[in-house]
Amino acid sequence: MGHILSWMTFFPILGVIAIALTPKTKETLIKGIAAISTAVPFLLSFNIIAAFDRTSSGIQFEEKFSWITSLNVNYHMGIDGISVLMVILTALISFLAVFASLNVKKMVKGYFTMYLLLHVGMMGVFCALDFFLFYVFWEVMLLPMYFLVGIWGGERKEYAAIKFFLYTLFGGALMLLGIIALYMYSKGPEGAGIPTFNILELAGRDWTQYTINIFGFQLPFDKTVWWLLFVGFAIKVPIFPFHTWLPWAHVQAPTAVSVILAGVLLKMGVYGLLRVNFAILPEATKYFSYVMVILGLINIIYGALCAMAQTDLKKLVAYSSVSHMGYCILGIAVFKPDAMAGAILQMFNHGLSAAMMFMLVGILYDRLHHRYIVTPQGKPGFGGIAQKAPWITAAWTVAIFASLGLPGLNGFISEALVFIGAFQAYKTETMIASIGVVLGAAYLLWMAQRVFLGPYTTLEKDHHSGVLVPAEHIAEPTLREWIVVAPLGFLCLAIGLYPQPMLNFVRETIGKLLEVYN
Amino acid sequence: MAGLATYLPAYLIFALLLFSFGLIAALARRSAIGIFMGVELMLNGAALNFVAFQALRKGVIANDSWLHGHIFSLFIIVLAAIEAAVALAIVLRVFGSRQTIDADRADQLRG
Amino acid sequence: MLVNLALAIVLLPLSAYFILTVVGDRLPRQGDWLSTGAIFGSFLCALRIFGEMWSSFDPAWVVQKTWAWMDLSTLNVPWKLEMGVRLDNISATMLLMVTLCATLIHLFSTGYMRDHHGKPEDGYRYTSFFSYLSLFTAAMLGLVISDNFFSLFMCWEVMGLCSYLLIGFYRHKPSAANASLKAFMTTRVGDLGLFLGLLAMFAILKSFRFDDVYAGINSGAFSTETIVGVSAAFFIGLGIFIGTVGKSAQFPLQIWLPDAMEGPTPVSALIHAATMVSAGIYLIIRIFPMLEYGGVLPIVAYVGGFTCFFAAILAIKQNDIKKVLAYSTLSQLGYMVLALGVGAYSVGFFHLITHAVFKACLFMASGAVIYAMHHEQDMRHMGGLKKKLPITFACMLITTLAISGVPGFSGFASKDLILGNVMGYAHLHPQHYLLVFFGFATAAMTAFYMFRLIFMTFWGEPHDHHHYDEAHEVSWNMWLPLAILASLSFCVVYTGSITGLGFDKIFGSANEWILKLNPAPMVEGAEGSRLALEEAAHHAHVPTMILSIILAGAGILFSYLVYGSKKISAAKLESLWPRFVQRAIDNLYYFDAFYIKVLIKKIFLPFSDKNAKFDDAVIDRVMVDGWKDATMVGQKASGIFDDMVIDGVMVDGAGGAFPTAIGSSLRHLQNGKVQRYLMVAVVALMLLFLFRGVV
Repeated sequence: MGHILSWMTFFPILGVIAIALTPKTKETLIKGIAAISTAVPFLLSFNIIAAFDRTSSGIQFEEKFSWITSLNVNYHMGIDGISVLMVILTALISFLAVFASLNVKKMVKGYFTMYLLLHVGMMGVFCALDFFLFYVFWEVMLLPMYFLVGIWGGERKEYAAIKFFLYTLFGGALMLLGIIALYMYSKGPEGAGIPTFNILELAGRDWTQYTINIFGFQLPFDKTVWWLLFVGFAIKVPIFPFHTWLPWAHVQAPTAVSVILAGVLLKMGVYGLLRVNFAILPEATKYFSYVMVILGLINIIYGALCAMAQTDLKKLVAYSSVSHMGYCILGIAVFKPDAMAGAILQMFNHGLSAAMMFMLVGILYDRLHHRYIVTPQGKPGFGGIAQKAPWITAAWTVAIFASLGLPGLNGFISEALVFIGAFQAYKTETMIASIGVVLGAAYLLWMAQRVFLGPYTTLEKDHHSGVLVPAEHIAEPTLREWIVVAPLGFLCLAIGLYPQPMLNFVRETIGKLLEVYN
Repeated sequence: MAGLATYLPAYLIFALLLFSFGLIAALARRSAIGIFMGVELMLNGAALNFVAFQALRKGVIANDSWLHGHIFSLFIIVLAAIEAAVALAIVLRVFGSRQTIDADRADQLRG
Repeated sequence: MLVNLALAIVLLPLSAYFILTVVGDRLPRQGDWLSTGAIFGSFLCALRIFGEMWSSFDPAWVVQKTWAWMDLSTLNVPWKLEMGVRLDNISATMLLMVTLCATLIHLFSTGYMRDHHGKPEDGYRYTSFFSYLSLFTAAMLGLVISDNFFSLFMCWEVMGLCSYLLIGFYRHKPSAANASLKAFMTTRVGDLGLFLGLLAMFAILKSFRFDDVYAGINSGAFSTETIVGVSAAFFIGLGIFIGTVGKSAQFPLQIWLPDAMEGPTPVSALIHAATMVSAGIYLIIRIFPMLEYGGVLPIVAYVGGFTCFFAAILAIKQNDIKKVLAYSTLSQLGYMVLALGVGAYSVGFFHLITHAVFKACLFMASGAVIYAMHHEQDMRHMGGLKKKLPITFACMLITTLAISGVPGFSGFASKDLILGNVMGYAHLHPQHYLLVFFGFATAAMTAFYMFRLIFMTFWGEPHDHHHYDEAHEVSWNMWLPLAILASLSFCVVYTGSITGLGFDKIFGSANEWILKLNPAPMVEGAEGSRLALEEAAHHAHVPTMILSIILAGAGILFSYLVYGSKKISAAKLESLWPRFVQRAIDNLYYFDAFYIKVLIKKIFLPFSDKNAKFDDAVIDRVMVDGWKDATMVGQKASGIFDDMVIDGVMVDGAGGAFPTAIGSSLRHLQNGKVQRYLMVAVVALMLLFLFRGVV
């Protein structure tokens, strides 16, 4: 099957058209179309798993056509070991999150249209090898996300949506500047060559020879552009201090969108750093590597401390994402193959465990209509759920322990690899970062204690009055919810026990990427 | 073929008449439909001009591959069709909201 | 073949766990037979492995196999992380001990946990209990067969999880929830040390395998490296030892173990006496050469010495039967750590095995008492139970004699050897005589508090007649495990000597097989000090033995006088302690208070709160939303400028009138009539044509 990446990326567009032609009263049909349009990329991803050549470090499933000839813009798609995991993750999470969205009541047609557009953008970002195309997908993803948060979100959805939008747009603008700078300077020292947006071609150039004039200062070209791109991606990761959109967006977004945000969107930042900053500007990356180590460190500790103090369940999980993405930054910044593999695996693993956790938060929210670990009145909002809903508790337990890095579950593998690699390069810093492991256990288990253990004190928000009253009953997950949670939990366990299949994907590409660095 | 060159002024005058009547209609009619019909006339007058000059050029230069005149007139036809669709839709909406199609009554944007 | 058996040992309980988790509540008897049967199967395999080891009777006996688990090798950079099985004398013995204890504890649990049987509304807790036990056992066995520190660490953490789940088993109780969190977090702090030690090990060796580590020490791989200012070997050794401190509840991370008694009693027996806490000791045994090489052993010795002494003091004052045993566990673990710290490798291992057997029996016996007394744990409400629970009493008495160090019982042999080695060590290094004091004082105290338990529980008159009248001997599945373990608490099993005094050995060449089979791995340059210790311990042996027998006897006698015959008033005795000591003991030396009230509640939580507030107020509000305010300010400023300068001066002022006039006249052009606009356009076009014509 040719053009598999294009099919995976653009098949949901067919779904968008089909939904557009469906009357908005036929909600079941719309949901069915959405499920099918995400199922096809999901099934195609198995083809990728089967056909991906693990022994090659190059670009596979490549597609290239001229798109805008006058600007030398190509429609150029392809994946290598770094992006293949992300493509699989995107297909998986997007497919599962459809089931998480089946209980959407408001404007079903609009919701799924936006949802499928988002899918196009996300998949495209991971497949695009042309900078122009990359940027287009990057921005395509932004708009549906804005509406998904802003229309279908929680109490303060507008604020969260505009915050997300402005942050990302700001990052996107900086990134565009960087992209254009690279494009202009790709003509070569004499300015005689044809400029290019091709990410692979740009990667081979020597950028240290140029300087760039900004406000009369002669700045080294590669370092300046590195910062433009870095900030653009850092907002998406998010790296401290650009992280504050994340708690808002995660908390206010509807469940399925939180799942996607945590599961896929955050990975774009790290993916962008690897694909662009690391591959194209190795000299500047080396120069600023220590900055990234420190930022990763701050993310880990700072995110964990913030999570510790949260009284909103979803916000706690959101800050735990900040902390966990710190491991990715630390892992990539030390230029060791093991740490790099750990970081990429951490992207995948966090995609699974955080998605699972947000789904589980959604499950509790659907039943109790609030998220207070401690209510504003200072009373416990949950408590003793384990007695009433042992299966919800069991699923939470898997998610919590996967997230805090228990051996046998996936989080441990990636964190251990990151630390193993990082310790070889930076001993003291790694020792400080490893405190994050203890903090992670602390806030997650403390949360577990307050929510699931102890006497039964769980409250629910009354539909009519909006007052918190004791909840008599908590229903166990429905089949629809199990469809989302069970595969994620299973994958967490499978990867935790035998990670080698995942490592096979990334091994060669990492070797090639790091050739420049060692 | 030189005949066309001889008759060209006739085509042009006819086109001019079409255009002028269209302009007058567009400027003077109160009904939105009338204005719209006037615009259609103007468009067709212009299209006729294009076709006429294309034909003239064809007669003068042998083996000419120049097709701009035809293309433009085709463009105008398509454009007119689209414009008709959109304009009629607008007229319907205006009628729906104001129970009249008098163009002077749709003056919400006045300064 | 043996390797497959070893894998089967782990996989049997592991599969039992998965089956029970998924379909356990639908099985007959809620699947307790599956879990128990699986571990019994493991026991048979372990027996077979032990037989193989016994028949070769070779200190160097080892069977290993490794598989690649993670492989990141590329063409020019090799990178592999291997998993493997290593069966040597230590692991074979451990396997037998763990599977035996676990099998018996499973059996015991089928009786003890009866109250939870068959209650769906209880959330199938009976099934969960057995599934957790299975997972725990699988992890412990996986730890024992590991041939490298990495898989050892993984199993170690999984055991932590099971311990968390089982301590918090009675999940409606807030105290259980607190205790489980405390246990997991405290051990996690220790695990951090272990993990860092492993990182350093890998950074230097690129391997976690035991053999590679030992070879690395001998080849000097650790001789030049330093990490954060200390030698690499010291860093690794200390880090890994901190892991032990957490898991084996040594000073100063001992706080979780007493609280862990919130779990069901079989759990206390399995996890917090026989197996998991001894995993810490097992870890020291495995890393012993590194501790020796890196010079960590004195720290180890003092930590062990402190723990065994101070925990014994706490045990004296407890009234909860399980708490007494918990502190005695701490104290005995301290003994093992002390033994390893002074360099007595095989002796520490010896005590690990004997202690596991008798302590498992003690815990289960206390469980039987608690069960018979309808979950009454306070010894002050017990008394006179020896008539009601004869079998339990007999088993408990035997094991109490064992732990007190009475000749003829297993504890005597191992403890005596520890004391002898400590004494020998002190002879060699006179500055460490404090350790000798710790060792002997603890021996006396152990005898005292253990017999206090016996006297308070089984002797005298019943204090709570209601419970007493209802109490009766437990069913066979609960007393049989006790009997088996008690029968293994005799000295002869381990040393071949019936009295333990050494003159009546009957095993021939297999006498003292544990010591003979488990010598410490060789470290270059360490032979001298090891031989010297052996020599010194040998000389110290006889006086030590006499002294320890006297101390144990004195402890028992004193205990009888106070709690048996009541010749001495316990209250009066207590008042002899200085007030501040009493208060310190009642508050567990203020460790909990310090950790929880000061470190966590006063420092850590407020700090994280401040941090979150900073994030919200400074980063989010000021730095991000601040842009909005900044633009608003800018907007206002430019608005004022607009008003004052542009509008006020330039517009309304000098050139003001003219544009205003134009504006108001032009305004009429915008009348919203589309035809007027069109007219204007046409006229303008015409003008344009005219204009062009002129030009």
